[in-house]
Amino acid sequence: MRISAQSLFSLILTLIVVFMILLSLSYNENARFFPLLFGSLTVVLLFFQTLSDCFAKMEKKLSFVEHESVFSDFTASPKKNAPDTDEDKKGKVPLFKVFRLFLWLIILTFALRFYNYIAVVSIFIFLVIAVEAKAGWFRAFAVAVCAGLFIFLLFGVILRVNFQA
Amino acid sequence: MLEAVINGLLPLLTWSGFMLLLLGTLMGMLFGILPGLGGPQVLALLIPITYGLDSQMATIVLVAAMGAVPFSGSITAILINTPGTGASAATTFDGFPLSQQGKAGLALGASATASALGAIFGAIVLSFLIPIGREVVMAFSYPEFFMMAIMGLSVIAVVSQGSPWKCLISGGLGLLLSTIGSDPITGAGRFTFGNFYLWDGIKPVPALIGMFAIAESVELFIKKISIAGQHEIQISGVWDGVKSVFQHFGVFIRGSIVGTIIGIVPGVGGVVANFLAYAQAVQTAKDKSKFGKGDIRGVIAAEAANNAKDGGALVPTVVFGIPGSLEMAVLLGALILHGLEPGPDLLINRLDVIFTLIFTLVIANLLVSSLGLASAGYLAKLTKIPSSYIAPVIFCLSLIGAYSMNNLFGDVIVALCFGFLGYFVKRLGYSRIALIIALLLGKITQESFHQTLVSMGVKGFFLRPISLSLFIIIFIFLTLPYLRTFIKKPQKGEVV
Repeated sequence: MRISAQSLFSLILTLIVVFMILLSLSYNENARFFPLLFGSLTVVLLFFQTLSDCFAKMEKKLSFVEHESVFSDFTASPKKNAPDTDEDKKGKVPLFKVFRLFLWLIILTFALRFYNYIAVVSIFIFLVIAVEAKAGWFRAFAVAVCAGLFIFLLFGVILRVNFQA
Repeated sequence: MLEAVINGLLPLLTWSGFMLLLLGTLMGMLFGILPGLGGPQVLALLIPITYGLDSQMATIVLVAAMGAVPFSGSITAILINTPGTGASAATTFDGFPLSQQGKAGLALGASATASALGAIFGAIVLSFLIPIGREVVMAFSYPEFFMMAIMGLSVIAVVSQGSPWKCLISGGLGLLLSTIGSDPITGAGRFTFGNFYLWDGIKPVPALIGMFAIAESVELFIKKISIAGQHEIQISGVWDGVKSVFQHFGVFIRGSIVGTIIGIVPGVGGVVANFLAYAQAVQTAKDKSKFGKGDIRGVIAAEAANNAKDGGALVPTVVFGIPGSLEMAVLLGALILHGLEPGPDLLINRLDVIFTLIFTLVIANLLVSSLGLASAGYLAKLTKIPSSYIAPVIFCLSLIGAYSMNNLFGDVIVALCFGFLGYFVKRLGYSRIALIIALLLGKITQESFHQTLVSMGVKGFFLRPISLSLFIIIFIFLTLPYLRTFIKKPQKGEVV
């Protein structure tokens, strides 16, 4: 069995859809019709996708899963001209970097719930730029102050957003 | 009709209408120039800002931003070989070599003119198709709307880039997510887990913000998109560029036709339009030797298609409520938020909004072409701002923007969850457009299905000619790619 981001993702999706199908069985006849219909179709598609992603032998047998659409050639072309990225040169982005960034976003979301949003976004921007992006502390501070001011003007003064717990 | 045309134009002639048009255009220019960002992101971020505006004013801001993105993306494609959006990628083939030869002004002049005229071409086609669309939609009832929704998803699955199988999974997932909340017929709660917020289902706008603004910014931050090389920018000979479009008017017209047709097909998008138009310009040219080395015809064809596709993509969006591209999916969400239900309601009762949309698209393109030419050298310098400075600001704008619409914290969590989902959907080759369109169409699909069963029974789907025709088209669309794979017998000596 192959363990990769691809196989884990399709496996997790399959489990979620199966869970939703099972849950929908407890609803009345009308309410469960569409979740059951959409869920059953999706789970069949996901089953083959998961098999193809998890097992190298199945990948060859289930080649229709990776069958490309007629316009797929066009997606390959722009990459030749797309801007080079630092990560592209090294290979695929490691998953832990992605999860770490989402952890920052979860912290931001919950901080927004409990503290003043202008202070929270300024601190968030400063920390993410200084710590995560490893830019200079002064630059991070300057960006955080400017962004905090812009967000205050947009949401606080113009749109009058009341971001209270 | 004439009254609707006048009512559609009037908001643009007011002071506030023009300022909103300018705001949208400037935002579109900014997002078009920055690599990695584009139409869906600027629209997703602008939706919360338009919440307090009336539907026509909101349409002006959003369509202006959407219309400004394509040409802005081509400015950096020509000047520094970095397309601001994927849809400007083919412009680099001849645009940048022209810049290297000291003819940046020629390329920008041609690009601005082809973009503005291409947008006008697309808008004219849209204007002519609206009356036909009205007649078609008048013949529709519940089964046809059900079949149209399913057909929209099927076409997207088959023609959009990547694996159709994964597109179908994304579509199925989107439909399943659309069932969250109260059942439209019985009112019973589904997948709410006792949470009051989920009774209304997943709201499209926070989902769109997460799927596009957050997911894209995560990629932008992590990949640290950098601009290769520092180029000296000298802009002269703009008028020669403007004249070149009229000298090669056939190339422009063919590019615009390709762009409009590709725009009408749901799910294909600007990248394909840009490349197909460039390819046809090369194929139909007598002298092909200069293409790729700085031939102005390459710039004209690619840019005409890139802008004409927006008018084409608006046809299925406003007539059937089936978005032709990612931008249109976000725009559709915004229209629904402002109480404008695409389809018969919009075509019959709010035709003025459609004309506002058409006029805005044209004026925004004329405005961005003029502004872009005047400030191209300065705008190109914006790309030197590191993406790691931009992304955290977009995260904050997205999450606060999601909250600001209804002052509900649940919207912030939905935006974050869809940001997470959107990132992995894109990274692992699934289809974001299929997922989001299925989420948007899910409610209509369920309602029209039940309404058909109640009023006509199952035979309602198959005894009405339009509904039956749509069913046959769906069947062919979904099965043909796979049938061809199975039917195709290996040739002698061919490795299977």
